[in-house]
Amino acid sequence: MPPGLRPSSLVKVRKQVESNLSSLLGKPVGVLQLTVFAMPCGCVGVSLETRNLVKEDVEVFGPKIKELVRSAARRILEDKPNVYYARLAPSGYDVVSVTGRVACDECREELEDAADLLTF
Amino acid sequence: MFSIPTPGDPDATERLLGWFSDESEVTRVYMGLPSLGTGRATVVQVDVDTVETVAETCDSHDVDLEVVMNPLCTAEVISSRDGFSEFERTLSELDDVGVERLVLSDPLLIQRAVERGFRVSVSCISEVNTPQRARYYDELGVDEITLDTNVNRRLDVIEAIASEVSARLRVIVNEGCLPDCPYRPYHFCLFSHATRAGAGVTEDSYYVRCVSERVNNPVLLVQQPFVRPEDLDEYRRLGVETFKIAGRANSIRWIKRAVEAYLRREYDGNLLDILDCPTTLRHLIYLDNGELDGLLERAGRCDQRCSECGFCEEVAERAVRFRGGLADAARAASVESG
Repeated sequence: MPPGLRPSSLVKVRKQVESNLSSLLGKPVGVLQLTVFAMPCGCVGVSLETRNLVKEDVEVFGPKIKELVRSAARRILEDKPNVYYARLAPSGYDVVSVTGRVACDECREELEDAADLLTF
Repeated sequence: MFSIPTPGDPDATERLLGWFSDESEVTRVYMGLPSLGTGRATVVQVDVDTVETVAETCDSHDVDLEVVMNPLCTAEVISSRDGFSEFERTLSELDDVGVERLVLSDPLLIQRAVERGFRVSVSCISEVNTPQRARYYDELGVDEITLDTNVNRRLDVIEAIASEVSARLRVIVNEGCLPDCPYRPYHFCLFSHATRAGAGVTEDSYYVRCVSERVNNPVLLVQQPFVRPEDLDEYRRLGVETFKIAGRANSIRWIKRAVEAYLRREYDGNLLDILDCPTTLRHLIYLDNGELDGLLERAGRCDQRCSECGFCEEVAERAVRFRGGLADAARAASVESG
């Protein structure tokens, strides 16, 4: 098992990214769940289920948030995502999750056009 | 007297009641029946056959079963003959399997159920929060009124309602919703639809927002209208006869921990461990119950002029601690500013 996928490592990464997001934004940002996923098409990725993160945070701090997600994804997947996106609640205000994904070509194009996603 | 939740699975109910078989204070168990929609997620498939099995289990443990059908939105039931006929049919089926107690929200449905001989407890979703509203339901002949949780900290209002009605009063003790939550009616409306079979609701935006509100401002945790296990006797003195433990969408282990705390009248630890909805917060935040002694004395007579008071902020300062990455970030920020 790659070191990044060991349970203790996953727990540590979740905690660190929660701390770093909170420090970056100057407000508490909860990460309820860190999910590592693999899709039938071949996409893999890391997703963070967030609370108290809003669209404006991503618009302003997108590059820095991307850096945090990239760092977490690299530790876990040992690969660098090629798509980063925030999933928005239907109101378009709250960010439900942020994801770094090593996406296949087809998904990469679709993700960039998805109405409920904010790529950054 | 306690009414405790079951997710609705017969085996889980048997195990749950086994744990409390020597507890005479546990007199009722409640479960959701989502055919008309309800106020909480129903985590297992439940129909009248399931209710019958759970009712037999309750009977063998000498406790009453309450069936909860408390959608906020009842338009599909009330506004068509078919919808109302389905409700009547459900009442007949429940009657046939021996159910006597219902928890309902809509006054028109309550009236019909009372006429048909059911013992009805008014749901908290009906927002009984004044003596006048309580009288409406009392005049319908309900057995019990579950108060709007937003009056849990309005002891004068509870006392007034108790003096005005003949129905028993019930308080939900461990609901962890936001104080005077602005999302509450809309969230319950969402649940009304989401809990029905075949509903296409996949997103719960209110849940996302309500957790975020508390992560952003933990003082809200102190202001939530929970009743601490240590404070039950104060509510008894006001005329409350029944305490309902919320949590029917949780595991029976979670339910056991909450029920035990209230039976013991004390909980040593993170109060969020036993507060329902949202349960995930307990992993992010520690609300030290030991630091909440004396809260009710002041908060129970609160006039809500928060800008002139600051009491809840003082309590939160002592009682609320971030956990995990949030604690690390708070420590780092304090070192930086100090």
